[in-house]
This record gives sequence, C-alpha cells and structure tokens, in this order.
Amino acid sequence: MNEVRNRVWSQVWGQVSDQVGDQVWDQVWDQVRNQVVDQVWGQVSDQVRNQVMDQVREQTK
Amino acid sequence: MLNNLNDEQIKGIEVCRDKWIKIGLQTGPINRDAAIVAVNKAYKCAGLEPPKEVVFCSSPLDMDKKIREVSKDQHSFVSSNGFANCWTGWVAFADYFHTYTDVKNLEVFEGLRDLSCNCGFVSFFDTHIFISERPEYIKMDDTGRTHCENGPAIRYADGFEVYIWHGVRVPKSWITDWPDLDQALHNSNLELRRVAAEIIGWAKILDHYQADVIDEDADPQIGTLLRVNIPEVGEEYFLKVLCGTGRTFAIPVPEQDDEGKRIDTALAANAWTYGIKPWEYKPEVRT
Repeated sequence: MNEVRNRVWSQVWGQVSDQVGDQVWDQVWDQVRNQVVDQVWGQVSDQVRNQVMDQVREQTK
Repeated sequence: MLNNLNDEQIKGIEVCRDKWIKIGLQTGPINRDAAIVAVNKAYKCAGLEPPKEVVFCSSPLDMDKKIREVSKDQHSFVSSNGFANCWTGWVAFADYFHTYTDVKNLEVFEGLRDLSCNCGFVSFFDTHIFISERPEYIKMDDTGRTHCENGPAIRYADGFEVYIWHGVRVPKSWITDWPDLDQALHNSNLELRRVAAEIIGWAKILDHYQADVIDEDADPQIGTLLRVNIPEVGEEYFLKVLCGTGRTFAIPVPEQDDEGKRIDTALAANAWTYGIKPWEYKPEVRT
C-alpha cells in the first residue's frame, strides 16, 4: 500500500537534494510547496479529508 | 548544483504555485481515461507492475464499499487512503524544478503529477487502485472554512454529502430542519453544543429557558442583562441587545469584569464587550 507514492517521492527527494543548493531548496519549499499546502491543505484537505473520512466512518459503523 | 534562481525562474514560482492551488481546489468529474494513463505511468515510474484493475468510485463512501469487497474487509477507505488531488504540496515542489530548472531525472514523478489532475481520493494496492471522483462542489464561508447553512457543504454526484457549519460537521437534520433544542443542548460534544446554540440563536434559547432579567436599560441598543440556568451547563449571563442593523443578539458575558467587579447592569455588560468601563461607553449612532 502506498508503495507507489513512497518510492516516487523518495526518488524525487534524492534527485532534488543532489542537484539543488540549500538556498534554492528553501526558497521553493517556502514559496511553492508551503503556499500550496497552506491554501489547499489548509482550506480543503485538512477539513475535507477529515470531514469526509468522519462521515464515511459514521455511515459504515 | 543549482544555487541561485534567475529572473525567469523567480517568476515561475508564482505561476507554479497558482497552478497547483487551482488543481488542489478543483471539483467536478475527473477524466477517467487520463487517470488510467497516469496510473500506469506512476506504477512504471515507481518500478512496479501496473495494477490489474483500476476501480473508479463515485465518492469516498462508494470507495470504502469497493475496497472492503475486494480486500474482504481487510482494508477500508479510511485505513488505506494514500493520495488525493488536494495533497499537491510536494507534487508542486517537484513540478517547479521539473518545469523551470535543469534539475534532471524528475520524470519519475510525472505519473503522480498527471494523476493529481485527474483524481479525487486514491488508494493504491498491489493489484488494484481505487480512484474516487471529486466532489461536485465544496462550499465555504468568508474565512475559508467549509460551511453551508441551507444544504450540504460537500456533495458528491452519487448523493454522498457532508453537512458542515463553519468548519464543524453536524447532523444533516440540524441544517435541513432545525436542531431539537433540548437534544442539541444536551449533546455530550461541547463543540457541537456550541454550534447548535449558534444555529438556533441564543435569543431563542434564552426565551426557552425563561431567563431572569437582572437589568433592562431603557435603550434597547444597550440592552438587557439576563441570567439563565441551562441544564448540565449551569448559571450563565447574557446581554440581549438590539444591533444597529435592527437584529436582536444575545452575547454571553461573564459574571464579573476583568477586575473582578460584578457586572450588574446592562450598561456594564455592554461596555465589557468593548473592553471599556461603563462611564466610557458612548453608543455609536448609525445612520
């Protein structure tokens, strides 16, 4: 389960670590990754994921 | 080693960020053909055999049923969920370097990147992959919390829906009908009890429990100070006040102000809501 996601991410992480300096890594992490997470995870995923999961849990008790 | 971004690459940061926020917030039907291509690519990139079957599901509830059937109740939607269009943070990170820089060997993430654009929730298994449709819509309030006061805040095309009041999931009947006052206020979940009071309105609750009047100011915009005994909650104080827009509100107030002085007039209670003393209170005149 989730091996696809884990394998892909581990390879991407390795490639970016090898080829990108700390300053650029931090800049892109803060300005792309964190802002997408703030907007999408904060607004949607964190709420929707939990609420959808709780609703499924309740209906399948 | 990439140690600095040039002007074009810096401009790309905003473009990439906005692109992935849009994908992450997307609702409506997915493109199933494109999802199958993306799944095969994702498994291949991960060095794994593609799944024997791609199972499309009309909603997370449908996905739960199908996962349980295939896994003979070993797994469920909740226990196996591993990816979704709204989990795009790290995909955006990889996509930036893939699109705007010369960082090499990032083709490996293309499958998951393409899947992000064509999926709702996803659960990966060795022989099967389960992909849910996205919601038909997600409704929010002004502060970005999921919310709808006259229907489901999240709805899938197959009828699976979630009722939410300013970020708190509530029973369907509270939105479609009205919370039963006694049941709602005896709910063991304190947050749900607070939400029920908000939906019903404190002014109605105070009438229901026949609150005692402690002090009534001649000016309805200064209001009436009330004491009420709510079962299982205890004695609480409220200021019932007419707002400048013509609506009546009831605001919970403490028994004593911040200096420990008893709040015994409507004026003192109203002043407390502004963090000032009664003699400093000058009602705003609205025209």
